[in-house]
Amino acid sequence: MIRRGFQAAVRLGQHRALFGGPQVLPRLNLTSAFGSSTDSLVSRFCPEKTDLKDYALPNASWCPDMLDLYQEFLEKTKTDGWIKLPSFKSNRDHIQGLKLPSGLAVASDKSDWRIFTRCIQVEGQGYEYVIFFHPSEKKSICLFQPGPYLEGAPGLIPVGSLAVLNVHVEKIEDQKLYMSCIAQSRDQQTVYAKCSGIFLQLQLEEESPQ
Amino acid sequence: MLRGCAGLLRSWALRGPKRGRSFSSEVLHVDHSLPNPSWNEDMRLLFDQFMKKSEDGSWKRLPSYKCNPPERIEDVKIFFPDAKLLKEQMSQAQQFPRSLGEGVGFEYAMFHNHVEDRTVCIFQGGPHLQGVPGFLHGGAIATMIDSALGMCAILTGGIAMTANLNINFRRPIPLCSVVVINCQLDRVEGRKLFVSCNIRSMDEKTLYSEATRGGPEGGGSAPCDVIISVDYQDWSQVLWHLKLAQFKKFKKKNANLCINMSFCLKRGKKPQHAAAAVIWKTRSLPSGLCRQFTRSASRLHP
Repeated sequence: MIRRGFQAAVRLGQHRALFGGPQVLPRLNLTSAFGSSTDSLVSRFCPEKTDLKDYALPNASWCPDMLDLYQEFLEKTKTDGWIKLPSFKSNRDHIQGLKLPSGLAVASDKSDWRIFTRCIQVEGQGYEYVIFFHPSEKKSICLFQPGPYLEGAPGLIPVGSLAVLNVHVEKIEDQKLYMSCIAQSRDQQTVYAKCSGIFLQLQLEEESPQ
Repeated sequence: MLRGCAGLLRSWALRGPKRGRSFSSEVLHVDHSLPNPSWNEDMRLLFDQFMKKSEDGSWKRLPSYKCNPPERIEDVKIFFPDAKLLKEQMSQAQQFPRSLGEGVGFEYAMFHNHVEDRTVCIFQGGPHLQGVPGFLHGGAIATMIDSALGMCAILTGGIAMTANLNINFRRPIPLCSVVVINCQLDRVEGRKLFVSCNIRSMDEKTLYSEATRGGPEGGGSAPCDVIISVDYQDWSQVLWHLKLAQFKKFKKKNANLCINMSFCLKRGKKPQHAAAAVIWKTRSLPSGLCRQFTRSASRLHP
């Protein structure tokens, strides 16, 4: 059982609440900037050939179920339009050459900052996960194996347990993405958590050449 | 030979490969809710303010350890008899918010006010909790909210698990900044405890998040039948005797009997007097049993 994933509804505040009022920001329309093809968007944000370390690859701590499903989806990336998301040390590595809107841009970028889900670096002790997504059907699957360092109530995460998270985009309204997710066991007999969330799309800007 | 292997396994599990040095079992029982070199000025200031408030006894600092205390493990065994609490796994497991190194993850301290029945958590999010570059990850915020609200629920009604968590993220929290999480108990409905909190900046002028959490106590499916309140001088002794006696006697008759106890300090001439609220949960509790428990409890009073 995953302690932190029970029934949760996460709602983000309105765009105005975030920035304290409407602002005119130079908007980068990603579709026009990079062409309308999904391929070019994917190649920009999920680079395959890169020096950055990809953490979403099998390692010795992965349980057999996770390895099986990983191979299954890897096959689907060749034929059925699925894409494996690389997982880098920081979200900033995914947006190289782009920057956040001026209200959210941070002046200095510390090199030791890492994304939360890759905070525990010891193999198998924290979050072991890989995400596959299907752009045209707007859904994702995350294979997640929690490690013993994620414990809340003692002993409830058996060693080698796997959770499969099915994520769907329900609707898109302007910049708001309404999404839902179900976390289940591999055989879908046990439902661990259901949740929904609203995410706000951020308008990225090209970084000025230095 | 097996004991030797288990001992080796334990000492290996306790070692921190990330840091390349070995930890003794004492390290895992270190109280982490105390200032360390990674705490910035704001965090220390807030901590000192709350420690000052604790001097008159209204506030109390809550200790926090890497591993679950033995009482918590025993409680889980009662509520989840099917849980396979494997020894090797238990020796490796760590409380999630305390599983990261000093300063890079969750640096926090919790304080509880028993008079106003609210809990405050001061929290400094470290560089390994990043989401959107430069800001705290939504999941890290949710982790901290869950921990703080969970503590608030546990202090009120004993062991509890989250059943529902709703969070409104109002503003992004900058990485490495200090925030204050104010939690309170809203209401109790049978086994369900409804708690809520908000996250504010140090000066309380900025609201970052609001959350509500509901959770049934105990984790089993038995309803709450009786609440008995008695006065003791040494609450820990009472709890132990009651728990042990009742558990042994009634476990066979009623597998769902679970004992959930909490206590609160009563204000009076002697501050060490404790009122133990004993909540008995069982499918069918005979009416005479309540009086019997009260009598046996008062016999323990010196």
